[in-house]
Amino acid sequence: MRPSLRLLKLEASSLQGSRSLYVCTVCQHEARPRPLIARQFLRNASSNTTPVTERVRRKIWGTDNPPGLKDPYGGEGVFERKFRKNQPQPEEGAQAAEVASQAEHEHASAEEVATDDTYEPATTWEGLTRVGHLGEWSNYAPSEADTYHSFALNKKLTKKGQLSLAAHQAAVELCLMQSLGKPLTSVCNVAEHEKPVFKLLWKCKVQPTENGQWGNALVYPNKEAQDALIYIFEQIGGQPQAAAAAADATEAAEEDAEAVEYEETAEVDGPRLPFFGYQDVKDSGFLSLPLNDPALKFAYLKRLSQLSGHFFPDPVIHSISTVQEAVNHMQTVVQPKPKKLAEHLADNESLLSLPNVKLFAKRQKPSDKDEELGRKKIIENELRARGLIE
Amino acid sequence: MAACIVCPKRPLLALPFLLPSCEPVALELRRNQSSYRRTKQRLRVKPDASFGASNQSRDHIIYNPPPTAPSVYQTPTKFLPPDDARRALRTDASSGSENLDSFAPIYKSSPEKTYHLSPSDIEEIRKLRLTDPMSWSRWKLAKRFGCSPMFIAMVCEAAPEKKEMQKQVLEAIQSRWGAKRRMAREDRQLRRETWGRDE
Amino acid sequence: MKRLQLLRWSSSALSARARAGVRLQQNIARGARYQTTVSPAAQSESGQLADEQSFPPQFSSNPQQSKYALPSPPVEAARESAKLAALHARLYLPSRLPLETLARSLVDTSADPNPNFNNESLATLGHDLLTYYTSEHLLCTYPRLPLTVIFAAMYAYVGPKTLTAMAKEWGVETAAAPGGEVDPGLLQFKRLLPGTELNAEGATMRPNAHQKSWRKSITSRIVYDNEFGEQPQTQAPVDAQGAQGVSFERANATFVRALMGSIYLHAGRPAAKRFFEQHFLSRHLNISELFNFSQPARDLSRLCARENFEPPVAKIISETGRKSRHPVFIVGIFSGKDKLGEAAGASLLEARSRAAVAALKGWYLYSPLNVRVPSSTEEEGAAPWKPVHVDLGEVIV
Repeated sequence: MRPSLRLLKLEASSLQGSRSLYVCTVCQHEARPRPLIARQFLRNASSNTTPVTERVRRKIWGTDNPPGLKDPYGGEGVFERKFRKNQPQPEEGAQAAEVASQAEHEHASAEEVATDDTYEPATTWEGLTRVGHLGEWSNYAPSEADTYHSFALNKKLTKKGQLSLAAHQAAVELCLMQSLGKPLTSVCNVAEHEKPVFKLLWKCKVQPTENGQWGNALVYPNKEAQDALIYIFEQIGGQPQAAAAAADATEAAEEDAEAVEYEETAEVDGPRLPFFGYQDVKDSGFLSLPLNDPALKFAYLKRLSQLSGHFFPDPVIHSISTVQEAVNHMQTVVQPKPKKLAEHLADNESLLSLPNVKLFAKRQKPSDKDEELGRKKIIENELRARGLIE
Repeated sequence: MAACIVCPKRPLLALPFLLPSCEPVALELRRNQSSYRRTKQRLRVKPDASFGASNQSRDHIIYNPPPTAPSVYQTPTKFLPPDDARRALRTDASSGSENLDSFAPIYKSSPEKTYHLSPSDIEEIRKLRLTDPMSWSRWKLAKRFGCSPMFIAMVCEAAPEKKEMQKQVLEAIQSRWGAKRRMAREDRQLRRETWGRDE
Repeated sequence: MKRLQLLRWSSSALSARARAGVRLQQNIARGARYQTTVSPAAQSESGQLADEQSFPPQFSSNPQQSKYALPSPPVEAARESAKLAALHARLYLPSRLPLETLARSLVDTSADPNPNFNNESLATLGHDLLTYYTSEHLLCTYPRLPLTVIFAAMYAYVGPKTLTAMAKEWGVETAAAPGGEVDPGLLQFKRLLPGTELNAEGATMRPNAHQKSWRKSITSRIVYDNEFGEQPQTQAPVDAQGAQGVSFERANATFVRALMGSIYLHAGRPAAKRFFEQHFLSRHLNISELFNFSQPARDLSRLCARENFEPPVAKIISETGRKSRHPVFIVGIFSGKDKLGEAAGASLLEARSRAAVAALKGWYLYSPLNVRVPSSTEEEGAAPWKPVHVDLGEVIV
């Protein structure tokens, strides 16, 4: 330890107050000034400009500019260098900036002197123009591509009728697509039809054929509806040829845009009803449609999950073989779990039929047991007699 | 050759207690029996004949009950009512009374009942015992009239003053008893009571 | 009605001997009290009895209030009680016995004085059935048993202590206090006040009952005392509310009796007999341990003289260690050529005494083959009754 440091340590310990107050060595070391600062202080103590070593060198050489290294004693020590590494900015950076700013300041001071009255130095960040960003992506303003549109409905359908409506609509659409010979999954490009289209779809009936083909299963209400639906569905999903894919995509995009517009307008009108307020399907023939073809099954479940908002896990998909089973799965998922164990047990038929099992809706407390044993009235009478209860 | 010698010798050596003890050769031959093998060997007793292989090669049931007191629920044949079916089933062989004469009676001689005393004799017994209880004790009366002291006790009762005296004598004797003797007497009485309960 | 009135009258006029069966008498008197068709004249005639008659108030409109006002749980609560259904299933009771009756058999007289809702009548019937079945079983199985042993065996089979133990084994729990809100699956009775004299002897028809030191003969016990040869216990004193408390033991015994009676009423005689055999006769009782002879050798010689057997002679069958500290003698008692009994003892006297005990037990514990009880002839198509063996009776010296 250098003598100067030891001296400083004494000063520090004297600063810490009475000797009786014990301070551990770590804290003493913390409270001590940094050796780097101490060294500077030491060097600057004798003279502001030249250190002692420099003056000794000059004296030896006899000139003001002695040859050789600027600091022949090897510069700072290891520890000093380490401390310098830890805090370089306040030292060198500040020094460099100081030099630069001093020059600038001198340069600008002439102008500032002229406009001195109007200048008001800012004390906070408030109101200052912000220039640039810190290089983070989150600092960019959201662009159009950043908005998220969920594939499925944001809110899952819960009513039984709505679920069958979704299943019916998906079945009719896929029947149409199948009959038109178009890619089946492209119905998903249209998130929602307009009301008249939906009405036409709603009116359609499905009568499953023996061979399980979806294309022939559709029964239209009348000829106009058939024509209209075929016309509409010709437009979505694109041509069967791959060449027309681009045109089809643009069309789909238009449809999308339309749909979005429609949704927006509908939302403006008021709380939008799913399926335009329709409550239930007209016929239930679609329930017995088979889902044997994997492509068809995939397309149907995709469309159904888009319309209903329900997700089908893989094992469920594997086990589903008809439309009915898909609807059943959604309905079992929809049914809410009872919140209380008592409610759950009350649904258990086998438990209710047991005569030696008694279900209580509420937790049985010691007072209930007292009442069951006939002890409660005695306790209450006794308490009442002593005036402890009313 | 050695094996030939050992084999006939072995039973004699292994079972020294079978040898007559007065035989000097056996005394010389008797070795220390403290080893485990020898002790174990002594305990090897021939099993009961009923456990051995019988002449028939067929399976059979071995009935060899341990010696226990007969159950009280098995009514003796004599106590069965005459119309009971078990009376005919039980034969003489099953009752096992063939060697009845070989059993020794508890009492040396069973006294013959003579019934020789007349009512006038009994009157005299009573008079004697009441008038002079000190000289005419039960034993003396029994000797004189040729009957048992028990019969005297059945016929008459001692005078009250004699009873009182006997009671005092008994108390005087019992007052000299210590705790041990008193407890022993009481225990004996308690044990005697358990005879009747068959505990 | 007339017969009941006659009995009431006769109890004061006739001699005590004519009034056998104290319990029956009590119950008939009580039955007269509870007869609803009794004429006003008759009611006024039995004045002090009518005063005690206090029925619970009628059902009020408020269900919760009425539940607390009722002295015992309402009838419809029996269907909702899990405890009751569990007890029914646990005892494997016949399904014809409804839960309501089971609930009623759990309500003691002290809890609900109304005879339409308590188990008094069921218990009376059940008690009679139990004692009848037990006594006929004992008498037909062991026709030579002395009467004291029969009393002890009856007490062991259907005595109140046994019935309490059975109720405990069945898992019957007791309510702290009776009331309408109590679970019907709990045994309900009013507890005795602390410090009540439990073994106070009740009223008896015995003449000179005030002479406590007099010997009570066995014959007089048959006539005057109950089926266990004991003087019937008195009812507990009436407390401030006008209801009597009963002991735990008595309430449990009453429940078991009432259950027997209700099985008999609802499921019929075969079911009651089956229940009796499964729950009462199946309990092991070693009757040979109930004997206690004071003079076995004398009794045996009296017995042989009575039955014209040769006088018994004690003979040593085998012995070991006569001069040692622990001798063992095996002594047999022979009458003529027949062995009557044998036993081992540490002394000749002990062995002889024990052998005499064994011989006497052999006599008393005679059991005929193919035991039939009189109640077995009640079944359909039963064989006609053949008289059982009747013994002369125990040996009296």
